[in-house]
Amino acid sequence: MRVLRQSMRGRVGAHDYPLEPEAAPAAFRGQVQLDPNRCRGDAACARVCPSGAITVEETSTGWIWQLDDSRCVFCGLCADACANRAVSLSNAFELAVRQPDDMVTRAEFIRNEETD
Amino acid sequence: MTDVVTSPAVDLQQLSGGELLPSRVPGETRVVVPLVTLPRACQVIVDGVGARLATMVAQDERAETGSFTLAYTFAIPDRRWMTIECQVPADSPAFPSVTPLVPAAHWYEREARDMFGLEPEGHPDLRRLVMHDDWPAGVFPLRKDFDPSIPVPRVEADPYRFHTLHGDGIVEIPVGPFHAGVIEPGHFRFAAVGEVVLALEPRLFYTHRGIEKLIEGKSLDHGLQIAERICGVCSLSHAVTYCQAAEQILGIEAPPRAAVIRSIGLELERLYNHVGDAGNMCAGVGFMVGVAHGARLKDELQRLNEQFTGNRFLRGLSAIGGVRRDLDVEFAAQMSLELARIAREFGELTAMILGSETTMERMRRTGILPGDLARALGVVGVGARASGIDLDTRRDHPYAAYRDGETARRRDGKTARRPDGQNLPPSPAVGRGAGGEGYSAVGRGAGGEGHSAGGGEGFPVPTREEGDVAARLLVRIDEVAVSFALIQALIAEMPAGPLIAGWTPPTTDAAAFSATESPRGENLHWLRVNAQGTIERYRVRSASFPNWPAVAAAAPGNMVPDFPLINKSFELCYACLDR
Amino acid sequence: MYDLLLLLLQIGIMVGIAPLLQGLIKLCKARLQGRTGPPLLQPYRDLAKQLRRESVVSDQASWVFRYAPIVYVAGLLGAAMLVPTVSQRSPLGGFADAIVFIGLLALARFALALAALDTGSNFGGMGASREMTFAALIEPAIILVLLIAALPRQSTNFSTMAGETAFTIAGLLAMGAMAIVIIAETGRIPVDNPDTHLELTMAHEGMLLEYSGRPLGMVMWATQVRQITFIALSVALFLPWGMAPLHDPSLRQMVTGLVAFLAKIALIGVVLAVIESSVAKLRIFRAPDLLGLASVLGVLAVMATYVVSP
Repeated sequence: MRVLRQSMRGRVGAHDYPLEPEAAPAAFRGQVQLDPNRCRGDAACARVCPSGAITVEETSTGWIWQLDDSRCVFCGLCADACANRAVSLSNAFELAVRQPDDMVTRAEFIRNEETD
Repeated sequence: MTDVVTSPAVDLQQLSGGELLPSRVPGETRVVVPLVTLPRACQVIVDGVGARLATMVAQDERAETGSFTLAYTFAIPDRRWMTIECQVPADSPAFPSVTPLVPAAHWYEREARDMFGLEPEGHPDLRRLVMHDDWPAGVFPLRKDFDPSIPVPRVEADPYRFHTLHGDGIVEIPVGPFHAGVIEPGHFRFAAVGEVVLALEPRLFYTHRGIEKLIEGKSLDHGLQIAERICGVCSLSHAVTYCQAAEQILGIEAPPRAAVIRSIGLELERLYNHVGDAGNMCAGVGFMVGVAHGARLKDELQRLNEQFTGNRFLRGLSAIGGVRRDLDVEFAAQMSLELARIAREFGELTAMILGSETTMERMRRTGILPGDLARALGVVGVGARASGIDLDTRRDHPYAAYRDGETARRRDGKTARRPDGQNLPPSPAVGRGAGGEGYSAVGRGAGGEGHSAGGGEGFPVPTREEGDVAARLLVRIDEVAVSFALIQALIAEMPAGPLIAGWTPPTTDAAAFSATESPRGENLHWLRVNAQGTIERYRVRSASFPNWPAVAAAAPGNMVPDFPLINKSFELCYACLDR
Repeated sequence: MYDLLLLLLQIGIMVGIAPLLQGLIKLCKARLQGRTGPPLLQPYRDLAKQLRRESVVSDQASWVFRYAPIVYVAGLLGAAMLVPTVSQRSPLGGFADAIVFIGLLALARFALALAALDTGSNFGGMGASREMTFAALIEPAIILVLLIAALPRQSTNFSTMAGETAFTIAGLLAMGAMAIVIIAETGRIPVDNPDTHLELTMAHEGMLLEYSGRPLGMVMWATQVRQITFIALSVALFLPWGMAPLHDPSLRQMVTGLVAFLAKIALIGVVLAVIESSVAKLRIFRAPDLLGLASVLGVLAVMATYVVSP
């Protein structure tokens, strides 16, 4: 009985997620995001990526940056490696998709000789 | 690093009769012995100085020396290690088994047989251990000539032969590997008469991911990402162990601030595990209030982990040379407050559990692991401490901020506070608070005070003598109190300075090992890099490895429905056992 | 005509309300544990889901496994129809005999235990063995409790027994026994744990492990009916206030009876939740002590009937 009095005093611990949206803390390492304005295509992120989730492919006109969320382990090494701070880990954690292909994010860059 | 420690009491080299080799980590005595004297040398070390078999590393060095190497590493009570090595010729890959003399070697030798094809002659049990029946004979994945990129065709083979008991009324109960709940896979074969377990044989290793092979040829940085993911719930402990081994090889040391942050992380890991386990043990007895509150507090601790490191399992905190995340003053203060609140609420929860007579009745005298058996099996962690074995890597082989001077200085004049506000007695006779009647005045094992070595002195290691489920619960509760106090002390005195030491990939062949105290006990990683700076051999001995046989040993004599409770009281990991 | 209406009402209550009572108990338990808990109507959704699903039957199973749920459901529904709920009058009138009641329950239990053994699954066997062990201990207690209620009126017909027991020493002892019977028969802590996922500890759940889809839904539903039946029986025997009289009740009396009945079973449901939350499950070897206590209380009650009130 004493036990119950104690436990009754406690409030309900859980939130009504997903009915009430829940934010991840600022430090959270979620989905990798790329700032296209900062990316210079030097592929440092792809080189350090331990699971091969990020690939950077050189094309005749520029480069293609590609992220496969299904391979990503959210280690954040890409963000540490990027000298231009183009890659960062966002707070996005609701990464469920309906098609396997939707796990892949692709960004095609056209090299601009003036800014390079 | 040639650092041979000779003790006035006993000279390990002479005792083992081996030839001295340069040691790899401070405090290690490393000898090589002829193959025939291997079992005897291991036995004298175990019997002579009370050493515990900490790991056994097999290596395929046929390309370099034309032979396989076996290295049995023992932990010696006063902060030393002892490694006994021997060469196994490539043309006759067999060695005299150590198991008949040192039972703790049982699984190590079976694993070496599966992975390297080294035959332990005289081993009492030569069934497959790691590789299951469908793995073809004569294919040894950790040999250097095994190419993991080529798929191995599976074969039809005789099913595994479980030990069977025959007699009137003896029923065999196979359980798993799939279970009714969402847990890891493992098969348990009970022999029972009615509801009483006569024998239990676990068949594990269903989660083999080939990590030790996978990591070969990877860079040290890349290796860390793999090491960190050996296990979910002792992720940081594995990461730190790996980093420390790598730092040992590189001859660098994490800066003081990084060491403190690592220790804080490791204690947070212990907290969320122990708090969750204390609640989960209630599930084994159907005390649902305890389960619910344990789960709630565990989640709050994991949220704290998430705010601290960006990951609920503390991944991405440790890096080779230091840490990747700082703990700023503001967040440290917030964490300190939050932890104080959780400590208080955990105190209420433990009072509730200990005060529930029906719960404690189920836990007392259930699943007893006798101390001498635990010692023989080389059990570590909570399982060992609840059976009267006084051991804790944080004190016995200190690392990070548990090292000399640091914790000792912090702990001076401070006594750990139990979450319910009572002092945790630093000396023998650990008197219980609420509800622990019948558990009072339990003498701590040897070494609690008589410990002369530096900084670990006075590090409180709660132990109990009973060896039952209740003792394991109570040890966890006491350790939680120590961890809460330790984090607060570490936060209070954070040294300033850099977070990470720089390093360049190694250019010479070198090996080292390191141990940390994970929530489940001692994790030991053995790492060797080659001249190209990539990993040559990696051997993970997680705390679950020596402890699983103890679960099987604690079950007989209990009732079948008590097994989940016994299993939970050890709370071992299937994935880090298997790797 | 009246009997037919009463029977329809009874079916509505027993079959319709049973999942609601289950939901109430679960919700109460969750709240006592500081959890949000499932919605009150979750058991209906679970049943609807199971009844829609296809059933997978082990190829080791024989016809026993297929037909056992029918016997189980029929036995329990039959037993549920005997117990007076709203009115003191049992819907099945003359058939509503205590001995029939016990027989139907035993039949249902026997059918399920057979089915559990039929597939050769270990957990089924263990569950059946535990359930039958409990049954052997709890059935005498049920018989004794019913005997106490039957003695004053010299009849084992529920319609005559209902509303009779007063707060005598015998009555109180029998109530104690009945409380234990309810806990055991509804498969609750400290005897069994209805929410466990640990297959090694299961008793009743262990017997259901091989069932899936529609038969599972039927058995789950019937088990909920069994729960409400026992609670209704204890209400009829020991807390008869508000029940409509045996003969020619007015509409008003019927409504009062209905409301009183619902309130009483809800109250007992809450009490069950409190008991489940405050204690841990007993060791299986200790459970007979508790169940034996029920029988002892029953015997004492019988003795008290003769000693105290001649």
